Amino acid sequence: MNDRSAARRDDLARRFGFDSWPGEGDQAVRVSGFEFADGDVPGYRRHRVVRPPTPPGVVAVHESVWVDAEKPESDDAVLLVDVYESESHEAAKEALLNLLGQVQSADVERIEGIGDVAFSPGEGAVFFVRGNVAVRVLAGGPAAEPVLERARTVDEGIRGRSEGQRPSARRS
Amino acid sequence: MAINLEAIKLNHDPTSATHDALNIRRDATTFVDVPEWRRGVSVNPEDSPAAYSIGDAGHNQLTIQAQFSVTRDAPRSVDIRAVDPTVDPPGQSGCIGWFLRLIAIIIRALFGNVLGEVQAQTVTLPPAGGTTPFITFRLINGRLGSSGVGIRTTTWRWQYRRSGTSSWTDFATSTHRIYVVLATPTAPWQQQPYASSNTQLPWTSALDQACSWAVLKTDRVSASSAVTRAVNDLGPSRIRYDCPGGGSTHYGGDLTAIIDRIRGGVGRGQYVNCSDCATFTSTFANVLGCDLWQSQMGWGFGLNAGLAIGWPTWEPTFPGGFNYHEVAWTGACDRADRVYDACLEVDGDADPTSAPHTALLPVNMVFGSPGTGQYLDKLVPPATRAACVPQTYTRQRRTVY
Repeated sequence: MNDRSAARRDDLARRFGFDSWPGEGDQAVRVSGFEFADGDVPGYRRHRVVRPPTPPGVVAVHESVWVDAEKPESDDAVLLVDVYESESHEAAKEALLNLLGQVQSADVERIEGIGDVAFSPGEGAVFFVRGNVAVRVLAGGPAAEPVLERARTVDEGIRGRSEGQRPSARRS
Repeated sequence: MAINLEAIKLNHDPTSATHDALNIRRDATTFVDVPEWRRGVSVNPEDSPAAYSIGDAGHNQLTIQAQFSVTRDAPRSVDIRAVDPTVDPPGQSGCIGWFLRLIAIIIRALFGNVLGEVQAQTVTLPPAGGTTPFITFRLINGRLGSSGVGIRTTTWRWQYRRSGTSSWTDFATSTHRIYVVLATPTAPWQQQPYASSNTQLPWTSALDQACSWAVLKTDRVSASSAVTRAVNDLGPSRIRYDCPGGGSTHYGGDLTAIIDRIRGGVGRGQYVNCSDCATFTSTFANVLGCDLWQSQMGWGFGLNAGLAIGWPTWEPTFPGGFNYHEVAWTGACDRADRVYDACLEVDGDADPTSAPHTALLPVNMVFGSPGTGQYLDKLVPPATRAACVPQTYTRQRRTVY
C-alpha cells in the first residue's frame, strides 16, 4: 500500500468510524471453505456463482446472482450476494472498508441488528462483517428492494456455517 | 484426383501480430484453438474467428497457413489458391444498376472481406492418403490497412490446377469471422502468455460488442468516443444508475455478466455505478487497441444537476454528493488528461450550475482545473471543486472474468 492509498484507507476509516467497530468477541464466527447453498436466500434461486481474483487479506471471493424462484426470467427481482471469506476478523473489516469505498454516495449509514458491524447507503444495498466474512448484498432490480431482511437471512446462514456447521436447507 | 482442405491457421505465429492474426479466446472459459478452421468442424464464419490489428499488420504482407490431404492419386504438385467468391451485382444499366452497385459497395465496406485472396503457389502433394504439412500462403489484394474497426466475413473458394495448365478447379470453401481492431489490445487484455489458462487474451464476445459499437472508426479517439456513447446508450433498457443502493459497484471486472446483460440475460442485474461504467468503457475500448484507464477523483464533493445513466431527470445524482467518482481516463489520469464518462451526462452549456440544461456526454474532455470550464466545472459546483481532485494513484485496469 503506497502513501496515498494508505491515506485513502485512513480517510475511509475515519468516515466510517472504523476504530469503533467491534473486535472479535468470545462468540466469534469463523467460516472456512464457504460455499453457497440453495436455501441461502428464501424465495430466490441461485443463478450464478463466480470466484473472481482475491484482494489482499481475502482467502476467497464468492460473487453470486440470485433470481426470483417463481419468476426467474424477471428483470426486476435480481439479488446479488457477494461473500469475502477473509483470513481473520480484522481482515474482514478491512475488506468491508474497501467495499464501502466503492459506494459513490456520500450518505452511508451505520445500521444495527445485522452482522458485527453493518452499513447501508439505501434500500438497495447492505454491507456487513460477520466474524471473518465480509458481505455485500445488493438489489439488482427494484423488486429486490429493500434488501435488509434478505441480508439478515444471509447473516444467519453465515452464523450457521461457523465451527464446521453446514447451512440447513431451506425451501427457496 | 481429390484434394481436401484440411485446416487453416490464421494466427500461425503466436509471438507476433505483424503478419498474421492476434492471439484470442472466445470468453472467460473458452479458448480459440488453432488451426481456427478445420474440415468438417468449421461450418459458419463464427466457427473460425480471428482478429487483426490495423496498426500492426495493416500495411504488412499477411500470411496464413493451410494443410491439405489427398484421397486419390494426384500429381506430385499442383498450384493452389483461394479467391474471394463475392460476386458483383448483375450488370444492370440505368438507375437500378447504379443503385445496386452502391448497395454492394456499402455492404462490402461494412462487412466484406478485408484479407483479400490467397496467392497461388505450387504445393507438393503427398501420395494418396497422405497429408501435407502446414504450408504458408501470402494474402493479396487485401485492404486491412485502409479499413476501420469492424466484424468482417471472409469467404475463400479454394482452387487447384495442374502445373502448366490454365484452368482452375474448385475443391473447398472456407469462411471466417474476422475482427478488425485499431491496434493490439491493451491492458487488461494481453497477448502473452499464449495459453488457454490466460483469461486476459482478447475475447471474441467482447470484440462482438466493441467492434459493432465502433464500426469503421479509424483512430483511438473516435473509437473510444463511440464505445462511451454505446455504453451510455445501454440505459435505460439494459442498465441504469444504482440510485437505490447509493451507487454501489455491481459488476466490477465481471465482463461475462455485462455481456450477458447486454445480450438480454440477467447479468448482475440492471444497476451500475461509475466504476462499472468506467470499466465497461475502458475494457471494451481497449480490446480495440485504445488505451484508457479506470481512475477516480475525490474525495467528497457536491454535484451539479446531471443525467445519470438510464435516468431521465436532471438532478444531482445524490443530494449529499459523491464520495468519489470514477471514469475512463487517458494518460496519467490527471488534470490535463481526457475523460470518457459513460455514467453521467453533464450540463454542456456555459452555466452548468443551473437550468436550462444541455445534455453533454463527456467524451475526450479534459478534466481541467476549477474555473476553466472543462469536465470538473461541468460535474461539480464551485463550492466543492477543490475537493474533486484526480486521484492518480487509483489508476487501474480491472482484471476481467
